[in-house]
Amino acid sequence: MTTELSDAEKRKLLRERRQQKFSNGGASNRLNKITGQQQSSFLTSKSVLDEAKPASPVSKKQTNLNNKEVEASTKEIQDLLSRIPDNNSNSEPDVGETNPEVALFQQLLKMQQQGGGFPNSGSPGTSTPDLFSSLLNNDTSTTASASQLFPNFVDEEVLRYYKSTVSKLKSYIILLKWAILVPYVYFLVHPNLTILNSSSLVSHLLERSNFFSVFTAMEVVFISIYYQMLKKLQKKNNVTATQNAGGILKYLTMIPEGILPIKNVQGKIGLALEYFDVASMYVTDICLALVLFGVMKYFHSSSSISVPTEAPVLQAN
Amino acid sequence: MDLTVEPNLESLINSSTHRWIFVGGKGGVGKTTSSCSIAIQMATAQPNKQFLLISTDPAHNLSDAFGEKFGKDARRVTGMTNLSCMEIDPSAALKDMNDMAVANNTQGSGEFSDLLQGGALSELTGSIPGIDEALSFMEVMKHIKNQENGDGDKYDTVIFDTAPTGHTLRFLQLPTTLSKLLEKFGEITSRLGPMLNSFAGANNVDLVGKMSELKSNVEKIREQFTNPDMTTFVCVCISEFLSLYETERLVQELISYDMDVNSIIVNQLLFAEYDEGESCKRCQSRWKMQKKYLDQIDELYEDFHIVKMPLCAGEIRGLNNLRKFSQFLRTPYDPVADSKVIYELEQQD
Repeated sequence: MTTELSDAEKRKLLRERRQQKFSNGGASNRLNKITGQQQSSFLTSKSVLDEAKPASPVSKKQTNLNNKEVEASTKEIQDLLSRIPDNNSNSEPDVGETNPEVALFQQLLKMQQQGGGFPNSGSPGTSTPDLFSSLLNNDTSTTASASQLFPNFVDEEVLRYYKSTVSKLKSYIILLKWAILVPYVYFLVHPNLTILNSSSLVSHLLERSNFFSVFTAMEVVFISIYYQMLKKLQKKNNVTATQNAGGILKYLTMIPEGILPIKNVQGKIGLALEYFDVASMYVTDICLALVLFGVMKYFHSSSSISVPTEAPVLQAN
Repeated sequence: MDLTVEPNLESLINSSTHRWIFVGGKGGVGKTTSSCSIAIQMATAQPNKQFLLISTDPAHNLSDAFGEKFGKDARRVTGMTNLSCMEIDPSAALKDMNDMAVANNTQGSGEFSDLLQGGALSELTGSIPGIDEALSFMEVMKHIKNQENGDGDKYDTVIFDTAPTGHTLRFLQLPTTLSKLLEKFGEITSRLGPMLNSFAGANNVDLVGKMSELKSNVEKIREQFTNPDMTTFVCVCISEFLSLYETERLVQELISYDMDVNSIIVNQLLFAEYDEGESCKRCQSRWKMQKKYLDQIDELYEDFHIVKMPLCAGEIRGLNNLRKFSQFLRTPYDPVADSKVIYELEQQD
């Protein structure tokens, strides 16, 4: 069923549609979308439309007066909107869902609304027009804090919590890994394997020539678990590899975008550092496994020497 | 049911209901050229109506854009029968106010008159932040009063060539701020009214009456500014990151003031791929960047009238050049068919 709209109705509908796009956090999402174009941008993405407006007596009165009118208008508009096929609903998914950067912005926005302000800002919820007005009013206290408004993109508290959780996770994984590896190496270098009365699978695993395959398989499993959990933690805390990285990336941020021929150098180096971290875990484990071999060999050789000396004593008793 | 938005300002140009049109954006994006273009097109499309173009930017450009001098009083544009321009000059307006105060105080105390004789009022008030916006607002009030009383020149539509964003937002906030201020003042005067009147009574001034009149005028302006059939804001930007960001913030601020904004003019586009002959490398790469932001503009403002204006080879000054350029507000610029126009502008001396 098609219904022809008058120009006034069409204008009203479009106006409502525009307002809908700016409501319920949509305004901040739009600013996020723009600032997301420039990685090094320090512009705020908090919208004036998402700030709580102080209720004034004038506006209160007007709100009461216009409430009925607004309700009627909204109903009418919803009625009209329901008659229009929505061309955009399928083509444009929620930005926050698809873009992790936007999701991060949203979380920061929530933090700002809850705790008030960016770290070190000193002035909760400071928006650009507020800064403009304070600059125009020569308000030195606010301008001083404005210069420190966005020193770091990630909340320091979140980053600290994330780092401690990652080191805990790493410790648990290493502990679990070595809890399996130590007995494995113990039996592997044991001079008398018959004590196990083992099945074919166990005896196959305990063949020294298979050590490297078993060790690598274990490493792959544990590193995969670690990596998956790391990614989950990153997602949960909205921390990316680049934000967690150290000195190299900090120096890289000083190089303006466009000078280097490679796009998104920071992201690529961050990812490479993450892989390097995983690879270094593997190499460290090999080294430790070699040390363990040495220790176990020494342990078995010393115990095999001590056993025959003890036996005659027992027999004598 | 078709809800597509035309990429032109045809509906605004032919609108018979709009009384106030604001044209604004970041500095240097072509606000004056755009406001002149809108004014010319409206005046041409509606010859029976009178249009006034006011510059509220402290750094006025209207005279330079048209190539003739405009002042604090409205003056008709040479070559147009229904378009006038004026540039609000805070210092001149304050001098007038000072002179009026001197005239009113000739019978008053000698010391106060002596103080005003030296232009103290204009010197004092001239340095108040936001005085330009306040004077622009007074101009709006004057026009509303003229409209009601049938005094002076009557204009059907007033187009504002505004100052960069910060100034403009303060100007647009004035009705709300004044309204709140007068509301508070009203509460006080309702209690102290007779006493205040007795103080002011010496000069036969009905202070409470004047205040309530001012309040009703401010309310009237506020209502008109928030009525989308009477007032609209045209944003002007260029296809660059900072301009796009400021436009978005401007749009959001305007929505927070309940003002209608449905049109965006994107100026200075290169359309380099359509250039005849060998196009310069710089133009090509700049056009590539512009296209990136244009795509984002199209995506973000799909419910807005997006008018894409070309960067011309010469300066857009003088009525003839402005006429040529402004046609693209009605018929979107076609880089192939209309490319001649951008090289045709007359050189202004």
